Amino acid sequence: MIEFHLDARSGVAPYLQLIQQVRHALRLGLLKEGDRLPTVKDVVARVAINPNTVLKAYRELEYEGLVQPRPGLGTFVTRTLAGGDEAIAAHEPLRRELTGWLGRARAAGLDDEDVEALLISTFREFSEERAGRRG
Amino acid sequence: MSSVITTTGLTKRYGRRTALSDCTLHVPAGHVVGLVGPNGAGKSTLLQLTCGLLTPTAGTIEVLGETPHTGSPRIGFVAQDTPVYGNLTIAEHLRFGAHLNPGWDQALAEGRIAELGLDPAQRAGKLSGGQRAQLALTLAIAKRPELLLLDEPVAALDPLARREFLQGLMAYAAEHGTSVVMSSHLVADLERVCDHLIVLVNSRVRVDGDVEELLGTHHRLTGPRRDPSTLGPGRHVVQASHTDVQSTLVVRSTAPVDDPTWASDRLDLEDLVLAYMTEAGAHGRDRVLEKR
Amino acid sequence: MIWLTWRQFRIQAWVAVVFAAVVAAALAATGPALYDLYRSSGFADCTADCGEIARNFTAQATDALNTTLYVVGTGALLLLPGLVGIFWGAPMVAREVETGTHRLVWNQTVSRRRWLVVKLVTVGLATVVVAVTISAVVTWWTVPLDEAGPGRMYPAVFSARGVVPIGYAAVGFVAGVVIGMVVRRAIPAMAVTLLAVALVQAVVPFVVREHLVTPVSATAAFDPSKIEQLGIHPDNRIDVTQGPPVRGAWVLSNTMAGPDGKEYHGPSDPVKCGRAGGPQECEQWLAGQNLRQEVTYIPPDKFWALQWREFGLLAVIAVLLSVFSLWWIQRRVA
Repeated sequence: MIEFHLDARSGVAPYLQLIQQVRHALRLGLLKEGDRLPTVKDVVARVAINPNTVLKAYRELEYEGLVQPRPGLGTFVTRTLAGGDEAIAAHEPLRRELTGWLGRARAAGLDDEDVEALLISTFREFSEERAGRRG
Repeated sequence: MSSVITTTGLTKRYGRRTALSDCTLHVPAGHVVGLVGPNGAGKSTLLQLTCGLLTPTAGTIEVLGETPHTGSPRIGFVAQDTPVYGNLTIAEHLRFGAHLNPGWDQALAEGRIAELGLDPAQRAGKLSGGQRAQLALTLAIAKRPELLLLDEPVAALDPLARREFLQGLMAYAAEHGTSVVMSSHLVADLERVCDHLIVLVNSRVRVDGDVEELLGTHHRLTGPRRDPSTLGPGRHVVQASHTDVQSTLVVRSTAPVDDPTWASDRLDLEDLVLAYMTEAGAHGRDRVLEKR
Repeated sequence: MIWLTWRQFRIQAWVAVVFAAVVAAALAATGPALYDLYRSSGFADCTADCGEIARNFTAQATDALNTTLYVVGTGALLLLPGLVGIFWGAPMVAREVETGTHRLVWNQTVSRRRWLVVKLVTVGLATVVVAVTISAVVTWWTVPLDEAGPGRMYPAVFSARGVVPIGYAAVGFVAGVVIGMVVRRAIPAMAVTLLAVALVQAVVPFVVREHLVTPVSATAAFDPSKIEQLGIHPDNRIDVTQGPPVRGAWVLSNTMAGPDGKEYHGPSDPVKCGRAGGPQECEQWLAGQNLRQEVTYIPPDKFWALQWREFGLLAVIAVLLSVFSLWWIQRRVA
C-alpha cells in the first residue's frame, strides 16, 4: 500500500499529482501487479482532498490500463511499469554508483543546487541526444 | 445532473442594507462546493437562506426540491464560529442530537469522537477551537443529512486543526456521497477540497462553475498595451491592468487565445478568484484607456 | 427536546424548588401556632365589635419571627413574577441568540416552533408549580393576620394571595421570553423585563382591577362615633372622613357631602371646633350639620370573584404573549 501526499505550491493539478505518484511507485516497484490502491475514503481522510479528484485520478489510471476497480473490494494494480525483474535487479548497483558519484561531487565542493542543476542538465542533454539519434 | 440548490433572483435585505442581491444559481448534487468571497459579501446570508434560518426578501430558493425550512432532517448546518453549548459535555451533545434527530447515527457520532481522541465527559466549553469545530461537524453529519452546509468552519482554526477538520469532512463526503457547500474568505482553504466554486462579492455572484472548467477557460494575457474591447467576441475580460507600454488581462474564453502578440498563461484558483474580487472592487482602474 | 430543556433548566429548577420548599416549610412549621392563637384569643369566632380583640391578637401574634415570615411570604409572591421573568424568561431565547447556539439547535430535526412550545410549556409549568406552592401556603398562613390588619383586599396584599400570583408569574415568565426574543441580548432583556413586570404589577392593581367587579356605592348619615379622620385648618376649613361600612373592604373613594350635595369642607364653627371647644363638642356640632358619607368600595366577600377574574385576565395576556412569541420566532429571529 502506498500513501499519497500533495504539493499545493507545485502548480500541478492535484489529480495529476496522484497519477504521477502511482506511476512513480509502479516504476520503482513499490507497487506490483495485484496490489491494492488506498480507498478513496482513505486518501481523502489523509490528504484532505476532494473525493472526486481521487476518483478522477483512479479513472485516468484505469484508462491507461494500469489499475482495475473491483466492486466492493477496491482498486487493484494490473500492470507494472518497472521493466521486469531484470530492470529492478539493476536498480541496486545503479543506485550504488550514483551514491558514489554524489560523494565525489560533494568532495569537489558542489552544493545541493549545483548537483541538482548538473544532474538535470545532463539528463536533458542525454535525452535530447537519444531522441535526435532516433529521429 | 440534479441540483441540490436552485435559486432565482434571490435577494435578502436587512432594512436598507442589501446582503444578497439577485442571486441565480444551480448547485449540482454530489459535489463539494466552495462559497468564497470577502467578509460581508453575503456568504452567511446565502447559507442561512439555504437552511431556512432566513427567509428571502425577494426571489425564490429551492433546496433538495423543496422550500427550505429549519428542522429539516435533510440538511445539516455548521454555523459560523461552530457554536456548541459550553456547559454541556460532549456525551450530552450526542445525547441531544439523538433525541432531536430521528435519523441519528450514534455509532458514527461515537466513532468520530473516539477517533478524534476526545473525552465524552469533557465540557464543550473547555474544548479548543478545533475540537469544538469537530464536535459541531459530528453533530451535523450524525443526523445523516443529504446536504451539508458549513459557514466558515475553518476560519478560526490553526493550520493543523484546519487540516484535520477537512480530512474528517472529506472522509465523510467520500463515504456517504453527501453534497457539501462550505464558505470561506480564503481560497486556500477551499482549493484542494472543492470541485465547484461560487464567488460572491458585494452581495452578488460574480462567477460560479466547475473548478476544472473555470481553470480551463481562464487565461492571463500579457502583451503590448491595447484596448481590451478589441479582443473579439466570446471573450470576457475579467480584469485588466495597464502600464505605459503593457497590458495584463485576465480573460474568460472557451476558445484558446492564439494571437501571437499575446503571451497566454494559465491561472491558479487563487489568482482566478482574486481577479473577480478586484474587478468588483476597482472599476476605476479599468477606465485608464477610456480617458485617453 | 424535553431532555434538552430539562438539561438546560435543571439548575434554575433546583434553585426554585429549594426556595419554594424553604418558604413552605417555614410557614407550615409556624402556621399551627398562629392558628391556635387566632382561636384562643377569641378573634376567630368574633362576629361584631372585634376591634379590640383584633388589636390584642395582632399584638400577641406579631413577634419578630411572624412579622418576618409575613413580609417574606408576601414579598416572595410579589417578587416571583419579576424573578422568573428575569432568570427564566429573558435568557431563554436571548442567551441562545447571543451565543449562536440557536443556529445549532434549530438545525436539528425540530422546528423552531416546536422547540419554543416545549420550552414554554416546560418552564411555564415549573413557574406555575412554584407559584401555586408558595401562594397556597402563604394564603393559608396569612388569613388571621390579614383579617386583623388592613385586610386582603388591600391592593398590594391582594396581589400576593389566592390565584393571582400564578397569573402574574406566568405573565412575568412569558413577557421575559418575548422581550428576550425581541431584544436578542440577555442582560438588556433582563433589565427591560424587570421594568415591564413592575409596570404590569402597578397598572393591573391600580388601574384595571377596580373595573373587574362592580363596586358598591353607598351613602350613610354621618355618625360621629365612626369618625376616621378629623382635621381643622387655621382658616376654619375642615376635613372629616368616616370609616367604611364594611370591615376589610377595598375603599375606592370615601367623601363627606354637605347639605348641598357637594364635598363638605366646613367652614367650622370657630367656637365649637376652635381652641375653646373640645373634640366632642366639635363632633356634636358636626352631627348637626346634616352631613352624608358617600363611599365606593369593593367588599371583602368579592375577594374570590375578583381573584378569578384578574387571574383570567392575566392568563389571557400570557397566552397572547405566547402566541406572539411563536409567530415572532418563525418570522423574525435568525
